[in-house]
Amino acid sequence: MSNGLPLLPIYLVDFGGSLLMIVLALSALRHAIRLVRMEKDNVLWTYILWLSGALVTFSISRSVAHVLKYVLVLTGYPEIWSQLSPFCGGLNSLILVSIAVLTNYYYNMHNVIKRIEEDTCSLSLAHEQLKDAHAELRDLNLDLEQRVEKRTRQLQLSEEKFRGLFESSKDMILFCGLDNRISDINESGREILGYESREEIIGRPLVSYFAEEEKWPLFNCGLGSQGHVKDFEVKFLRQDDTRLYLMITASRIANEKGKVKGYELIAKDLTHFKEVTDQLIQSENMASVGQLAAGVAHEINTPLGIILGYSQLLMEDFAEDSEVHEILATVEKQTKACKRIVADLLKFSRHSVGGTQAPVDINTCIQDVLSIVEHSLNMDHIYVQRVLAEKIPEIVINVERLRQVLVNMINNAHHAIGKEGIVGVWTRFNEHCQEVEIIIGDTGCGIPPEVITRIFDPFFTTKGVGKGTGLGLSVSFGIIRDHGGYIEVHSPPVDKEVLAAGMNTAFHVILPREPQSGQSKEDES
Amino acid sequence: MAVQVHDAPEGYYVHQMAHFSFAVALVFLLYLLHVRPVGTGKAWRLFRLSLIFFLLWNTWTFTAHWFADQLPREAFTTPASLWTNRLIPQLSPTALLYYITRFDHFLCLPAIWFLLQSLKTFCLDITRKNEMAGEDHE
Repeated sequence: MSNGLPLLPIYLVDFGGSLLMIVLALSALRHAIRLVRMEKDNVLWTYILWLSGALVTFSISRSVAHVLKYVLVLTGYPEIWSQLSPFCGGLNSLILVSIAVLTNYYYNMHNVIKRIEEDTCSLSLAHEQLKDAHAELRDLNLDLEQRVEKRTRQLQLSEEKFRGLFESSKDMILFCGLDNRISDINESGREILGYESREEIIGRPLVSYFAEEEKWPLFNCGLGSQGHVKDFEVKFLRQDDTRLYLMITASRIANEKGKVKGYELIAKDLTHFKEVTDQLIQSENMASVGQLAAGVAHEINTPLGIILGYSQLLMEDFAEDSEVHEILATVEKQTKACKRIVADLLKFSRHSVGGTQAPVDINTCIQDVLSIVEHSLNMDHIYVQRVLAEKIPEIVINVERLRQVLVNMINNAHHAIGKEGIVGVWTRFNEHCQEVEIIIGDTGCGIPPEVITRIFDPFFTTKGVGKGTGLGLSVSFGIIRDHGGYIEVHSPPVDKEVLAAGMNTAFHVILPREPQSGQSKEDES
Repeated sequence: MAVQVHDAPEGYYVHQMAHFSFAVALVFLLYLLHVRPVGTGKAWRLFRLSLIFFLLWNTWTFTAHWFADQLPREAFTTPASLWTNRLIPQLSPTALLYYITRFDHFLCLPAIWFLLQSLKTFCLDITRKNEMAGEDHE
């Protein structure tokens, strides 16, 4: 120890430690750079790089100086080291101060990082909220889409149901706006009203279809006060001016707030039903009147026979040129007239065909009748239009009775026309029903609606006093009925062909091809 | 008075002041890392350990410089031979403490070692994080 402490261990540790420091410092610097490169946007790593860089620089600077010192001394240049030593020491001092200054930046760095973290947290929260909102919006959107889809399906189904009901209904369905004009109508409605297209109807005021205008206020009042009209019976005008008997049910249409937007109307066509009902009533009337007439005729027939017999006997007792004989002749004549009326009444009321029935060609029968009456018609400038169908099968009928019916109808047509006109005669065969139809039309004045239901009543006539007994159509009705047929009258005609021929009235005589079984038995009895 | 002359002891004082400021900065940084940590985990522990060792080394070196300043100039002869140089023959406690504090590499080497390990661990953590993020994306 007297020689002091050897400095060699210090030199060796300094030299070796300095070399090791350089290696470790360079490695640390490499990792610091790598760290920054891995996350370029991370400000913390940048700060760590700077701090580590400063520490590494200090380590390298110091270690290089130590190594250089030993190298210069060992290589015999200690004076160079003596000159470099202050620079190295100063540099080391400078780096130490730099590190100290850099360290103080940590506080600012921390604030920056904290602010960034807060912003990041805030952004993250906002992102999460946005994400949640987006998810919620997406769910809502999806839900909305599903709802819309479901609602659309329901609406489509409802629309299909409504459209099906609207279009396939056999009743007339129409919609009117607040201005009482038709806004829509179904196909049946168009057909019932007799138009070619719906566009012709849509936009027209509903009142224009009311045949009885006095019923419009009643309809409107009922709709306005009660909000609906039920089983309202009204006559409608078709496009061809014929009338329809409709039963209407109408209801107001209001939106969700109760504001009235218009009304809907459903109309049932009862025209045919009404006609059939009228015919039934007529038939009942006919039956009642027939029974009455039969009773009266039976009671009157006997006294009339006695009056006629005694008047003829008395006539033989007086000279032909005597006054009494003339009076008796008048009595005889009037009595015979009475008997004819009574006979007609009996014909009307009797439920039997009577006479001989045989197969008859309808067209031939009509030609026979026309050959008799046509001359009389022509005298008044009335001409006959024949539209006789070919291949009409023969029907079994009492030909004399049929001729009587035809003569009655043609005479009525003659009377309706007066002078100058056309009498049209059509014959048809309906294979489906196995019925023969005879149509006798005229261009006369037509039959007023209030009269048409009574024309088959016995003693009903529009002719002047003494010009007709009012039994012609009654008797004809009875004859045709007895043959299992029926008579229809239309004024104006419903048949397009007849209407096109200019006829104003048409009588349809429909006869079965074969006599009905019940009728045959009656005939046999 | 415009130009001040800087004599020999000024370098020593400046260097010691630099060491002092460095020590204060490291204490301040360690304090901030303790009260306002920006991260946790192994990497940050190693980083703090590195700073502690740098602080110890700095104090150690500061002391070495101080002891060196206490020794007479004769104790530091220009070395004729690195292999035979010796510290002054008359050993004093100051000389002995100086001799010991000259082995400062036993502190600065661990400091730089822990810094290296810390940076390595930071890189490893980021690599793992990126790998996990990649797996999450998949």
